[in-house]
Amino acid sequence: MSILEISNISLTYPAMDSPAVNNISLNIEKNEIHALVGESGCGKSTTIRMIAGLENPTSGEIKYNGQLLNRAGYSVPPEKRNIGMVFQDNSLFPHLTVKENILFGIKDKTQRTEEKSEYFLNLTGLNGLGERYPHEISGGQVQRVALSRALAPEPELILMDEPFNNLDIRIKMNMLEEVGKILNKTNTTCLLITHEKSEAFILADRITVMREGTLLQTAKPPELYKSPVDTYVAEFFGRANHIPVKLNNGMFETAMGMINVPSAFEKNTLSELGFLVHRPWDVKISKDGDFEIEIVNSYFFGDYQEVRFKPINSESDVQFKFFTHIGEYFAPGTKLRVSIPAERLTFCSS
Amino acid sequence: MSLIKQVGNNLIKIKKYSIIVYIFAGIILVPVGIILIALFIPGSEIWNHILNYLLPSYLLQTIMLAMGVLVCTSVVGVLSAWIIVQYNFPLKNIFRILLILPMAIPAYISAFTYAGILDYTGPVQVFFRNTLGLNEGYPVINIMNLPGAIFIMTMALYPYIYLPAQSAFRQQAGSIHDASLVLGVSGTKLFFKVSLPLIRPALVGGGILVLMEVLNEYGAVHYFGVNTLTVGIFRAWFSLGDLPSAMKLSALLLLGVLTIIISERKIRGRIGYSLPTARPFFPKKASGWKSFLFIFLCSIPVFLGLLIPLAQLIQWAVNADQDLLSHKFINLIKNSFALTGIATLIIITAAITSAHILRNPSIRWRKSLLSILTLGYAIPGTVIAIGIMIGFGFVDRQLNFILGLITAGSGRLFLSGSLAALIIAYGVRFMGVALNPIDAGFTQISTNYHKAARTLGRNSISALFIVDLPNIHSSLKAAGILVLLDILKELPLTMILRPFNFDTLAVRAYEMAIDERLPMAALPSLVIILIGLISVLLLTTGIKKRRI
Repeated sequence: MSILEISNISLTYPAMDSPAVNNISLNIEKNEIHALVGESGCGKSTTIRMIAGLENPTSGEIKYNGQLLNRAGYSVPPEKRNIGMVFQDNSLFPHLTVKENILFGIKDKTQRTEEKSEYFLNLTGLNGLGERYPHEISGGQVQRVALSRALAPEPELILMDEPFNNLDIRIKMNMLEEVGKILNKTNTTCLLITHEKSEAFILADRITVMREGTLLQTAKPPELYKSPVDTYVAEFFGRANHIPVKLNNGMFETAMGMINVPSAFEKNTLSELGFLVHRPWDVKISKDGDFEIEIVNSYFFGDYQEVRFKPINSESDVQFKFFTHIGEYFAPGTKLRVSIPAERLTFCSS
Repeated sequence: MSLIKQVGNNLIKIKKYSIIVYIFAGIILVPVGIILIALFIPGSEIWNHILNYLLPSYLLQTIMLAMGVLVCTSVVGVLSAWIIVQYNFPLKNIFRILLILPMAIPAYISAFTYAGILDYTGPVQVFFRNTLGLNEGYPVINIMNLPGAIFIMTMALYPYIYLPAQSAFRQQAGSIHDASLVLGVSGTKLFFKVSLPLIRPALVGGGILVLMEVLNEYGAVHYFGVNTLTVGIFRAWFSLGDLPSAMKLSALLLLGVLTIIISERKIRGRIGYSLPTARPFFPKKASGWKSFLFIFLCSIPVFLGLLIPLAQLIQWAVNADQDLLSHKFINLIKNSFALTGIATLIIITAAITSAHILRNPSIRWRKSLLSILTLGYAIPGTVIAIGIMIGFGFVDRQLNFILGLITAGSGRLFLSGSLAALIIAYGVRFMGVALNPIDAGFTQISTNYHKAARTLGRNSISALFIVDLPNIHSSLKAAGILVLLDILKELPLTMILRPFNFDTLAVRAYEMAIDERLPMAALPSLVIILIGLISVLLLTTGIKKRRI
């Protein structure tokens, strides 16, 4: 069941030529953690600010639990939506203690109790810090308070705007795990905004990729990694080889020779020109491999080694890469045969 | 690297000049010390009289005035700052500046101007009589009382709240407002629960300045017959002829000021206010009727604090038929500007020297020295004047004694009543005004520039002039303007310490007003206001440029 239904919303800021958000539609399912990812300036922040009611879409509809929040000329103000939000800069009220911050959003005064604040302090591992001021606790703790504050009014949906940005990488890993558990425990649906693929991979049930105001793809993390809709999405979630191909008599013509169209592909959906996308780890070296290649160079990355290669006897600058474990050495100029399993290939028209 | 380090050590050689800063601090502490000693000298009969019959009323009036002005300036300052920052409406950018300008009119000038406007021959009563044909029984507003003084001082001092409140509101990140909205708190609740508490540090800072100005004020309260401690000090001395009593009252006032300074540090206490800055704050567009309301509200302090007194002064000046180029007036202007210019130059030089020496972090008691050097601005001019006068009187007596041993002549005054004494007193009072911006400027630029210049063959002094000072020129400008304006309009200290028959614009304006020759007071007042307006405009545009 969808808790949030976004239908065809757009927003153009005054004095801007192109819309910041351009006719997007997205459903968030109940109890899922959904990540909206994209580069900075892609419109993802604008999108959740519209969901929170901090911006009004120029057109389109937003429904929350079946109830209309936005339609052209109609908007429920943010304070009436009961949607939680964690801000990028955490935005804790500096003049209030941790406890006062957590209880700030609870409207019913009788509910602003010691037990309530204790519960949330406990939940987020902040025991004993209730009387401190935000500047008296660490960055990770600030983030936990921000989460507690957003959860305290018990919203069904919580929006998180790049909440882990300012955290140190080790603290971040712990926080990601903990946030997942807390959201689960409190049965809270979450829409997380991030430009870090790792955050989305670790935390999200589903991921939506956004670029220049439009949505490119929504999928579960492994599916997104394996079958990106285009080379942008492929590159966003990891290193990839984009082999330019041309459809020729039912076969793909590539710089490395002809390849059979994998049987899993739906042939009538393929365009004449496009790319075969796959991950560098998919390249297998074997004596009876399909393609003959020549090593150009290799780079040491610590955990792995990146080997650059080109089609044999190729004059062009086009290079591809595969990864190997440390210890295997390939001198420049070495000639090898490699193959790429058909089930690892994805066709992208752009 | 090693070169830089070596020069770094050379920079520390400034340490041997640090004696200069200790001397400056001493000059400031001596009058303060003299006054505090007065607490322990036995009181005269007159002091007993003051203690029993006058002091309670002095204290009460002072506290009522201070609290009244504090509350009124806070309301006017915060409200106008909130409107200006929160909303967009027609003429907003003009009002943003206009709302600052009333601080260019010293309270003693608007005090006698309003008294003139509202008295029997003033335009208000003349209007009732001549235009409306009312003879008696028309409403007469009596402004010469405590509420009147609160009104006058509020109009002169609310910019001290408006300015910091405005920049504090502006610095509040938009996301703090967003967070509050998302958590269900909006409108006036948001203002009182979030926005207002967040500008508390700015309010405390501005409020302290207002309090200091109220305690320093002599002209306006004396003119309106409000007997504050400052007025009491003058009276004990000039009317009752008892200097020790004046000293004792000064000591009480000084203790009050020191209490305020110490409690301010306590109030600032624990709550830290480094605000997040991820999302700036955007003003809302005001709807039609709200625009009118905001323009109306912003006009009130601009009219009452600036335009009305200014119009009256101009009318007086035009009708008074004074010869603008009269020998006397030209002399007055020359006196006033020469004194102000020389004093400003000396104070700025002293401030640059001190600030530069204090850049060295290894100087002992660095922080305490800074606090002492900036202490003077908190101390009422009257108190400083009495301290300096007694100090120099003592020195003069010793000099006379020595001179008496050598020659037969005696009874000459060397320092007392000299321009030097006046300039030193200005230095004690306004050193902080110059030092604060200059010190802030130095903190903003790295000492590495200075060190680099030294590695390139400049000595300390030349590096200061070629590298450091050009980089803090806007701070220097601000310091110069502030000190100049403060000295030009200074009243109580100048009245006590000026040499016999030496008038400044401020003193002349006030004396004319006391003599009920209001039109004669208009011209010198207008000169002060004009310089004030120019200064305020220069400062605000300068600040604006720096913000970009």
